[in-house]
Amino acid sequence: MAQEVPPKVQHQLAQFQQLQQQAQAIINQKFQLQLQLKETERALEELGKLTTESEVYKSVGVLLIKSDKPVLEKELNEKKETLDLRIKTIEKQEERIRKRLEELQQQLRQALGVPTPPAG
Amino acid sequence: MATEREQLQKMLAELDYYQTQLQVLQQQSQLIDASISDILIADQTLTEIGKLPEGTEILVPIGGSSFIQAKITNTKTVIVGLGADTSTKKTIEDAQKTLQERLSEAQKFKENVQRGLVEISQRIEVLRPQVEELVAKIREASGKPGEAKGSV
Repeated sequence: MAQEVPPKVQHQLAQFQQLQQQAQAIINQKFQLQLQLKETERALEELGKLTTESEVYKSVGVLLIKSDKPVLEKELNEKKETLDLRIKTIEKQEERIRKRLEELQQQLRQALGVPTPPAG
Repeated sequence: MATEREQLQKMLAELDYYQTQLQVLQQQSQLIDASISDILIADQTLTEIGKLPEGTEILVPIGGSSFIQAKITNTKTVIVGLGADTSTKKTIEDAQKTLQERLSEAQKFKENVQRGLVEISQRIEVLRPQVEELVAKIREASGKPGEAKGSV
């Protein structure tokens, strides 16, 4: 006969699963931002190899609009800064969720009588 | 018995994890193949365009198996994307160099993905018979066929 799980523990389990999903979503989001950052850094690196007179274009929808190298570099540097900031913010969020998950896991282990694995 | 069931659960979770990883790597492999094919088409197009005289009539695809007629006014330079919505004009030769760099990067990445695929497939091959064996053992011990069902 299976033992009934107390409502409090059921609630904690639901919260744990919800947090796990949130953590996964945040990891995916961070990965996308890191990809964008890498792409921006790479574009900046490629722009750096060009002369100021080089013809450069910016994509807008399906169009390529003629631009200037310094203008594009400024825009990409701003984009890089924004992405850096967003990644830092998301890393803080990730850390908060990770800590909360650890706490909940600890509580659930105690409630369900599962021994805590040795640290390390 | 309880330990065997716990072990089975653990192994099934591990198997499930590897199968998910395998799917992710297979998707990545397909994406890289598409990317490699895209680079090769661009490279081939540049090689052919470089041989054409300026003013050559061409048909430009606009989707829906439809084309518009156009003339190439410049067969010496091409606009190449640098990423992050940025493009620049390059000579056909430089553009092909860039494409070759991207091609070798994509091929290196594909090799890594292929290695990952082989490694994970091997782990699944080792784990699957172990899971099947354990399922059979639990069924036998409980004397109720079908009780210890696991999607292997």
